Amino acid sequence: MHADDPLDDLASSVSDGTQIDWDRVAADPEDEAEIQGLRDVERIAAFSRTLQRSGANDCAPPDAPAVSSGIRPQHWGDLTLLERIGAGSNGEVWRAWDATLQREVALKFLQSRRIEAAGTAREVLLEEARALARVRHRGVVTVHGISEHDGRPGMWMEFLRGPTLAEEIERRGALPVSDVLRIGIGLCAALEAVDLAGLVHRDLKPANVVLEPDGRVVLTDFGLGWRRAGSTEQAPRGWGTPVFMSPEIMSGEIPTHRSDLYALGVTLRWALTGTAPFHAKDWESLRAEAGRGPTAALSEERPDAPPGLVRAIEAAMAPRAEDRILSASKLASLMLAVRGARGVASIAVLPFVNRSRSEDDEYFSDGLADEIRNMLAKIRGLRVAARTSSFRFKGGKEDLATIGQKLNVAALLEGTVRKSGNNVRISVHLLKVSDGYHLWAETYDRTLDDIFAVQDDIAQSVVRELREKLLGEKVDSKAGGEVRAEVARAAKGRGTNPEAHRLCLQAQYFAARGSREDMLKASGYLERALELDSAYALAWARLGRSHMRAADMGWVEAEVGHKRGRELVEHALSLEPDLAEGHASLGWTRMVMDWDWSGAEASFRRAQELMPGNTVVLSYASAMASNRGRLEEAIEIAHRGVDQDPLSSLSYITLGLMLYRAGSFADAEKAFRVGIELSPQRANIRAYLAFVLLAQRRADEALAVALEEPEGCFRLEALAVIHHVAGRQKEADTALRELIETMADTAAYQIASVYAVRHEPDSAFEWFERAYRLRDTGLAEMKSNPRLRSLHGDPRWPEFLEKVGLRE
Amino acid sequence: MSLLEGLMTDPGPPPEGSASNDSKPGPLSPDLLVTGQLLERAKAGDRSALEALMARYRPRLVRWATGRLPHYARSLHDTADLVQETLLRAIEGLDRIEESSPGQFQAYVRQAVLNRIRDQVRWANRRPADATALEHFRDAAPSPLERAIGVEMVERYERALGQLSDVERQLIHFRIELDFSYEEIAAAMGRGSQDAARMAVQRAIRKLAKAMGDAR
Repeated sequence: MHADDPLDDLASSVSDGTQIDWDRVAADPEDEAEIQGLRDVERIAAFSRTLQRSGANDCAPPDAPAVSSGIRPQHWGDLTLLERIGAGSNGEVWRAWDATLQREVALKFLQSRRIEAAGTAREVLLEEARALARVRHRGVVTVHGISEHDGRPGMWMEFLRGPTLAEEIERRGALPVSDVLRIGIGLCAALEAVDLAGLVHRDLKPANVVLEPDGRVVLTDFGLGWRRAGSTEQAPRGWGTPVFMSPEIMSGEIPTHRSDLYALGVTLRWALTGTAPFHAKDWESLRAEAGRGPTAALSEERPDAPPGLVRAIEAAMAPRAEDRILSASKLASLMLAVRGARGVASIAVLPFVNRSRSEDDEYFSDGLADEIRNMLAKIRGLRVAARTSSFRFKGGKEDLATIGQKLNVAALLEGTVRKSGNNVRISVHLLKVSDGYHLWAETYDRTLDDIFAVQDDIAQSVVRELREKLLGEKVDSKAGGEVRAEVARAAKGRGTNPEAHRLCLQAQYFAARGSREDMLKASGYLERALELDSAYALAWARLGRSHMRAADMGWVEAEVGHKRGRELVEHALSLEPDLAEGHASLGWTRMVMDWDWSGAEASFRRAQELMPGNTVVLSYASAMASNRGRLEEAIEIAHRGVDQDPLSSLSYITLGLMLYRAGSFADAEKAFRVGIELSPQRANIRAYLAFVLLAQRRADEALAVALEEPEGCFRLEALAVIHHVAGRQKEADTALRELIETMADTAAYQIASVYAVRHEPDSAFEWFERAYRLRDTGLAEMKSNPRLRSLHGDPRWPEFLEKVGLRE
Repeated sequence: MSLLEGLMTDPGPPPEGSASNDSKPGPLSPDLLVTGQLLERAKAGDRSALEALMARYRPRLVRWATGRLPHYARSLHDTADLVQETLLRAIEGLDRIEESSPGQFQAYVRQAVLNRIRDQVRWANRRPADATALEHFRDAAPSPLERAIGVEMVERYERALGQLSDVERQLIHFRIELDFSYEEIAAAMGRGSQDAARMAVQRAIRKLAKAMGDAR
């Protein structure tokens, strides 16, 4: 082996993942075998690298692109290549750093060998790529530019972070109907944009669909399939992915937008069933199978799928192009009809604008919007964005279309309130997001004594309009009567005294702010409201909830707070058995305090029936499933929460927590980061994020994040664990000592956790016993806490699980 | 205190002008290394060293193992659990690994994990066929790596690895399979500079390639 042996360079390139143009490797015949071997090793290395980096850091800091050490950075024009993220027969995709605009991009090389093989002039290909760059649509990956450097034509585009639909199906199996509809409708809009630009995708498949964390469904193309529609060139074999190819393409016909629709049909069918529709192993038998259509009926493979969705997918997958659905917009309207017929119209109630002289009346305008939102959330067929998501738009700087899109709703209710003494003027507008059209507007000039009637009238009008104008239902006098009855049911527990109602709004205003002082104020207002109206079930339930919360936060002794809270909630339920809020709170105390697992599940089920899609209830139900060890179900519920309420930090934190418990650390990290972004001052998230970082062996980052945790108990627990794992025993001991000295009564569970990580099982179980005596609410989650794993082999572990009813 | 407490109310967005706490993850810190020193401490019964060793090595090993375990044979936690258990057992048996240089420890663990995966696959195949959906996978039953490069090539790779020396095998495991940097490799092998590690890896790759090419 001499010094400048070219095979040494090749071996180094294989080792570093640097790109090798194998065609240019001048092969000495006697090196042939070794070069072949190097190509083999390259493939294994590329596979491992993808696997290793899938869970790794995917955010480059702005000034220091994360080039893995040892790689000579390669450049292409102004771009620095960071990492090859995809490679196939049709080209390569790199994660790259755009130093000019300081952002990460995806760079795709348009492989010249392929161009030549296809007999296409490079100029034509570039021009087609330029046409793609002109497609501007939320559902299509944004192309930033096209160029050629060093003889390599390439295009760079936005770097997407979400998983592909293929990964999502791999992870979750068959997807819920609502997800398939959402993805299908999104992809139809994207295909429409592609069609309008005169392009055909030619390689639509789950791996080319990215699901961004903000709910965006993005059509991408890592296979270089884009071609001008009407291009006379046939699809060469191996171009595209056979199972998604329409029979006519397999027979050598020219791809059209209808072959894209076919591929979309196969993609959606795959998502709905979790498996491939065809099983043939070679080209000819696949062509025959695709020509006949799938053997298993979709309605049998997925009996719960709405017939309309089944028909839409079958219309897209018709083997003969002339039988196939005509356009993406037609397919979208079929699926929209299914979503409509599923009886879901979505709405957000924006905070009403306070037009009163006094800013002190803000609680009233906020609270009124809140009351109406809570009523709507209890009504059949309405999906209502949660308070936090809606309140994000307080102050009204963004236009309605943007708000509607961000909240993923079809309609918005906005309003103004002017309160003066006992008189109040309330104006409300109901708007359709898609065209900004006013569906309904009304102004009420009343006294406060009429406030209940006004609320009911607004709720009834909104429900009627949404059903009529968004869902296409006919609201005749009979249906109108039903609406009135439904609104009356949703208003149950509300009480009858206007002043008590006003005090309750004031209480809500403070309760939502979350500090201990605010909570005390809120309780004070609730107590005054109850003095005026002792039959006010909702106020009893809320007062009960705030006692529980004080207990959960360690402001009062856990057992005392929960006992009192429980009495109040039970009293509320005796006054109003259908009070959703009451069942949710009762479930909570049954779960964390009584360890009455089946009782808690029953309460959460009841709360979900009465208030479907409520983020808080979904979050409880997710916690419940994970506490009992059903992590996959917990993750599924948490995902639903995120879908329901895309701007709620609670939804993301719940999801992050469940992913952390399931060991999906990279995904958990993403969820927590979104949660922090949505709600930077919220307690506890940074401690969880620190654990997730630590689990990914990023102890330094974990430490930095943990130090920012505002809640002392969780900060100290995280610090004790991180320092210990990093081998800084002195600091670890100090943090643990501080935890014990300052919070022995409220953080017994956390202290036990730290001892578990330190592999000191005797101390861990001692603190568990203490936590048990103090009814520490943390014990509810011991079974799914990854940091307690070291105890699982200990004979005391199952005994302790038995004590809290978790040995199942 | 419950981890979920505080979730009942959502304080919502920050007041305008308040600082955002968005901290972006930075590059991996070079001090997080699987060092010989750590292994020494672990052998001497230092619990915290053990924990650190696990924390550093395990995630990569888990990711590597996911590439080797066929889909049907694993549940959500199987891979992580399998690796965790194997590592624990290996650490318990540290005294029995004769000359336990850090590299040898990992080579031993790699083989132990592969053995466990084989057991797991055999066990999964014996499981009564209750879930019909599994049948489809079971026919083909390749691991993700096998799906990516083919069963034949995986077998050829393992045979070729067998022809390498212990040290060379460890180098391939670190660099090719676990994506260690040269810096990390130099530290893990307990000697040499980054450049020396790079040269050693390059030689090991050539030897592996030769063995694989000859077996084609």
